[in-house]
Amino acid sequence: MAEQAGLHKLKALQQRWITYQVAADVLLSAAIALVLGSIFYYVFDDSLLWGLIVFIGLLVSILAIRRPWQITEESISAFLNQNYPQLEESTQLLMKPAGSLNLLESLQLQKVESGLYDVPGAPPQFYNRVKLAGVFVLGALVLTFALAKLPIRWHSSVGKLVVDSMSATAKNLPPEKVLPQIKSSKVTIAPPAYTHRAARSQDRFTLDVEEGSTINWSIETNIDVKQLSLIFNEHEVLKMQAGSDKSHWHLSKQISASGFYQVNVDGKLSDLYPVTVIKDAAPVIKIKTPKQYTHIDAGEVPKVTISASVTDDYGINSAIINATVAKGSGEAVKFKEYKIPFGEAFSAHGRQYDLQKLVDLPKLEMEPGDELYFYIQAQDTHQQTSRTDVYIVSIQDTAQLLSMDGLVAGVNVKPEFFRSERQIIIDSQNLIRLKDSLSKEEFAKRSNDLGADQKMLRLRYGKFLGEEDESKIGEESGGELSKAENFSNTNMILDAYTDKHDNAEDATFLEPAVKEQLKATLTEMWKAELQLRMYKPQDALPFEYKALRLLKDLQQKSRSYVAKTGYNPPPLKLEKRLTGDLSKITEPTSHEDIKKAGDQFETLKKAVIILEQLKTDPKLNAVDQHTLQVASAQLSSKAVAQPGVYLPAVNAMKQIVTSGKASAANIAMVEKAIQRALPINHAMPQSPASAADIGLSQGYFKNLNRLNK
Amino acid sequence: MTWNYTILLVCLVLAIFAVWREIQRESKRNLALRIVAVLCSIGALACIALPITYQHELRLEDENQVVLLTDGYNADSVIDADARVYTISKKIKKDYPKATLLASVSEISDLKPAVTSVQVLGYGLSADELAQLHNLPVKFHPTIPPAGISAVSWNTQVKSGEKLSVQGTFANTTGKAVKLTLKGLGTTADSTFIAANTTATFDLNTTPKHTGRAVYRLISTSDADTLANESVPFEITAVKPLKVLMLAAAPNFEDKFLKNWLSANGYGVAVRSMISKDKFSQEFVNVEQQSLQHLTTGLLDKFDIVLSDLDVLKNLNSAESAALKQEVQQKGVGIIVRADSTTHSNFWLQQNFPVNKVSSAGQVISSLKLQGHDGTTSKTLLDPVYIVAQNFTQPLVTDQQNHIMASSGLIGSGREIFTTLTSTHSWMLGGDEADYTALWSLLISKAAKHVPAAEEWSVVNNVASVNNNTKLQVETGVANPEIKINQTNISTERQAHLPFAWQADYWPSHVGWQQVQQGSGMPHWWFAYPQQEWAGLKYRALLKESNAYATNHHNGVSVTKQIQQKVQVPVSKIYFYVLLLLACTYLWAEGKFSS
Repeated sequence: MAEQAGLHKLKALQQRWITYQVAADVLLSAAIALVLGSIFYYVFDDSLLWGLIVFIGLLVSILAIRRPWQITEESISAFLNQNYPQLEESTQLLMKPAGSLNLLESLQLQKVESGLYDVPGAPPQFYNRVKLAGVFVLGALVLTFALAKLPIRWHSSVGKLVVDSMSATAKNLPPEKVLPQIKSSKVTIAPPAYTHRAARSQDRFTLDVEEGSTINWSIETNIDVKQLSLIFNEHEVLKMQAGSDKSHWHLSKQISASGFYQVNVDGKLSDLYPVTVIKDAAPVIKIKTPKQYTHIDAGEVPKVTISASVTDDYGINSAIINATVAKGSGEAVKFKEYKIPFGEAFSAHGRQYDLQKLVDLPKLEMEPGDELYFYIQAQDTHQQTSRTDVYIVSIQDTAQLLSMDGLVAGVNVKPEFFRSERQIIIDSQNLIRLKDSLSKEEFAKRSNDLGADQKMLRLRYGKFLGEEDESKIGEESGGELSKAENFSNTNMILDAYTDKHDNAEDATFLEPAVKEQLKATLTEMWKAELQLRMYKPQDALPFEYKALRLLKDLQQKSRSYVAKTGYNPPPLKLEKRLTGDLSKITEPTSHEDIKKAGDQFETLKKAVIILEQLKTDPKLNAVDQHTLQVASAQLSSKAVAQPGVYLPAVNAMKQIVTSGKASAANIAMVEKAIQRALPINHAMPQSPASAADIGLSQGYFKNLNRLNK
Repeated sequence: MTWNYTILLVCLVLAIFAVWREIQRESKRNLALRIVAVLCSIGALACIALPITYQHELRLEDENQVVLLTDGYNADSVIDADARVYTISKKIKKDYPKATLLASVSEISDLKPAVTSVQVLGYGLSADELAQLHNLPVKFHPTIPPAGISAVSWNTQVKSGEKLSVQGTFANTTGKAVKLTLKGLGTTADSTFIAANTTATFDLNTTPKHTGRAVYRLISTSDADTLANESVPFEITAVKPLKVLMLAAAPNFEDKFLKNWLSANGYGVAVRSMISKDKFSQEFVNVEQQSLQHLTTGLLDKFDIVLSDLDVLKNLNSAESAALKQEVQQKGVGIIVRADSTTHSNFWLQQNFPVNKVSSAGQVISSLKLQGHDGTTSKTLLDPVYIVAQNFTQPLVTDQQNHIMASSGLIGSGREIFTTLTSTHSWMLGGDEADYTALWSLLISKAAKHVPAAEEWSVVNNVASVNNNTKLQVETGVANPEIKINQTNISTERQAHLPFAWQADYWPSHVGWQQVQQGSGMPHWWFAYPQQEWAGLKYRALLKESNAYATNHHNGVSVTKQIQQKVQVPVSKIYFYVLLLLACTYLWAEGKFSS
């Protein structure tokens, strides 16, 4: 029986170890899942489900790696041997069947059995990992708490982490001054539906609300009051409704404009509290592709990928491409409108969408020479729409390009090689058509020949630009030079071995702009030649067309046209010139008095003078008090528009006017606001004053004049 | 005197009694010596009680100097421990208790024995206090003036729209940079840094937006410590509108825009533009209507400025031309001339302003630099016609390459502005009123006729502090000005060398603006600073005044005074105490050993 007990103990230990290991793994993955989950939840506003997924994934992978169920009795006995010397390295004897033990072993077994009694049911080494995992969980809890409190939020529209100002400012603001009668206040802000924001409540009177929010004030007073009202912008009085008794009051109001308000408890007025309205911004649309003007050359695929990103501060309702196809030219132009939806459904009203749409131009019945105008229009959840500029996609009209109109008219016939590019295009198209009927070698040869033709054309144009003539490179010009009479003829040697790039004649041969375009043409020709030499006439076609188009442009540019004017003035009669009778011409005279427009800032300027006086002489007479009152009204009208800027000054001004005394801080506050409100003074013309010197300098001047005469 | 006799009598009685007692004694040993000792001790006692003096002759140099401590003195500098030390400051009396506090400097001359010279330590005394010394010789031991602002100046009268410009020198002796801030209306207007251990000039500017009197602050800070916080008082006055006469060869946009801009700002404008041969269109805004058909001196007298094209002025008839010339040269009417197509001539309005035409180029686009403005204007279209710089002319407007586009010169008592700018109205069309205003304000202000000032007030002192002597000066044409300061009549003193300048002394009793008025004229204002403000400037002024006084009144100068003086010198009592002690010791010892 004794062996059985030892074996039981061993098995119990094994079970316990496995349990602790699994528990440790669960705790560890829970800790990591907690941190990641809270980051997803608080910072990225994602679902808590992510935390659960992470937890399961982690647990499975940790268990798969560690495999705690694989801990055998052997490893337990090895562990016991290592840690408990009284077992004398013989624990494994327990696992041997009782009959297979020899005498010595069974003696030893008895010792082990007795030693096993002293081994605790759960040795401290079992706990170590669990303890560590427990610490991790604690740490994760602290981190989660901190994340919940931190004002850092991910804004996908901005694409980076930002410190959330809404929640941060609420904490950092100084405490408000509240009337002593008010015991507690609760302001519930219900943002409008378009924001998809939940209602929130605060105990401050200062409001930062979304446009169109409904605000509900509920104020509890510590004594019963007769009347409680809110005064908005100093004139709009809203009476609060009493609740069950005269100490609970509430009021609802929809706020759509910034301003300020104060609480009136039985005639006692509180401080002014600012109301700042956060306006909804229109959606912002950014088109990434195509470019504003896209030209699809002949030979290119007539498809356009329109990709755009649309962002809004609250949510996008819809986005659509408005496309117009213009066909024909001149008076025969026809328009056809299309509305092309993006694949996106916008049912989630997300804040940002990356939209993409592949537009197949032939499907819109577009042919070469037609143009596509389109813009993207987006609407946000507040029904505000915005639209982009108009983008233009045009398909090149090959028929016009290949026409001979301009050339046969004989207005300005260019040298024959202008036709060569056209010829190369026709030959290329011909070659492509014949591709199936030709042998591979024949096709390659003809393509190469075309490449050679293209090269010749390029070289001929290159001459205009002063490029080197390849054909001469490597050619021995030594014939003349090696003659005896030319020995040490420096001019001839220089001629033979130097390049003359900066030839003055070359430099002025073409205008810089024309030269630029010629260079671009040559580049296209290079590319076309490359494709032809690689036996790909199909790929060469776009470059050939481009080169031809550029050449045509060049040709058009060099033309000029002067219209004939058909006016012949009658001959002048010189004897009649300047002899008209002017006596009946009346001389116009006008007289007006324009008073300088009354300065609307006059009272504010006067207020500054009074405030400056108050600094040294703290007495306020009735006239000054009136001026300050008028100035105060002006400031408060400014405060309606910008409560954050002018409201403290209005408060300070009120204190000055009512108390008749002014503290330095109040004066500074008001003066600062006035300084902000006043416009910049521009210097106006003025006359300098001469010295009051009883005509001394005048006399000096007179005497000087007399002497000079 | 009775005290002396009483002493003598008592001592005599005492002596007789003591001698008699000595003689009475049985032992007659050392009788003679004992009597001598007794007489000596009683004599010494009498001498201690009696004031015994002797006469002595003294030379003046080493005698009767007093030390006067003023602000900034160094206690270690008072070497002479016996010297009589005085001060007129309660603060110094507290710091240096040995000093005697005087109510005013004038008390020094009444001190006994008569003071022959004064050693002044510290920053010294003001001119007003030095005058109270009644020409006593002074030896001045100056202290190094304090660091900080050593000189400062600003325009105390600012016209609306003008810059307030505070300039000065700052000596920074600390190891840290000092920040100078100009604050006004609760707002920082301008600021600059003075690097550590340097003396540098500063220039702080702002254009005040308000009107009336204001006190800005000039604050110097080092890190968080405020080193000084001084008042910068100034007054902003409104600009008085001028009257402008424009003469045009034909109605044009340039004149039209200028007329509209001037009249919208309340300025008086009269325009005469020729519409046909000898036919003129006349427009009057904010001025009384009168015929502009013929220019006469009476007509021109009513305007501050004449603005015209050069060809119009060249084609005036002789009478009109003479009237204009006389008004400009004698009365100081300003004239702004727009160049015509000629490059130079000897016409009186063109002779100083030859023009250089760059014929090859067409119109160029450039921005302009205006005199007295830091930045450049926005770009405008210019004819490449430039004024050639001449002696006695002043360029006002240049382009980016410093070609002169407008220049001014003196013609008699008037001023002429010559300009080649012809399309400034394009600024107005482009909505750039600021540049247009800046340019025409400069040109018109430079040319405008001077208005005679009724009076001009100034504070002569460096810093007019409260409760200190302040000298005010008024320049006026009035024969006998009656000056009232804060409604109190103040007597004035006419300056000998400037008959139109009058000075008055005043001791302001309160800090802040003080009203001053001449007769029943416009009240003017000046500012009395608090006592502690602008200390650096005040001490520098004291040092200067005290130094000047000391060089004029040192010892060598007053030779006329008596050099030697007889004085009674008291004999030191210590001798008699010693004599008394010796005599008594002998008497005690003799009695002890004889028994």
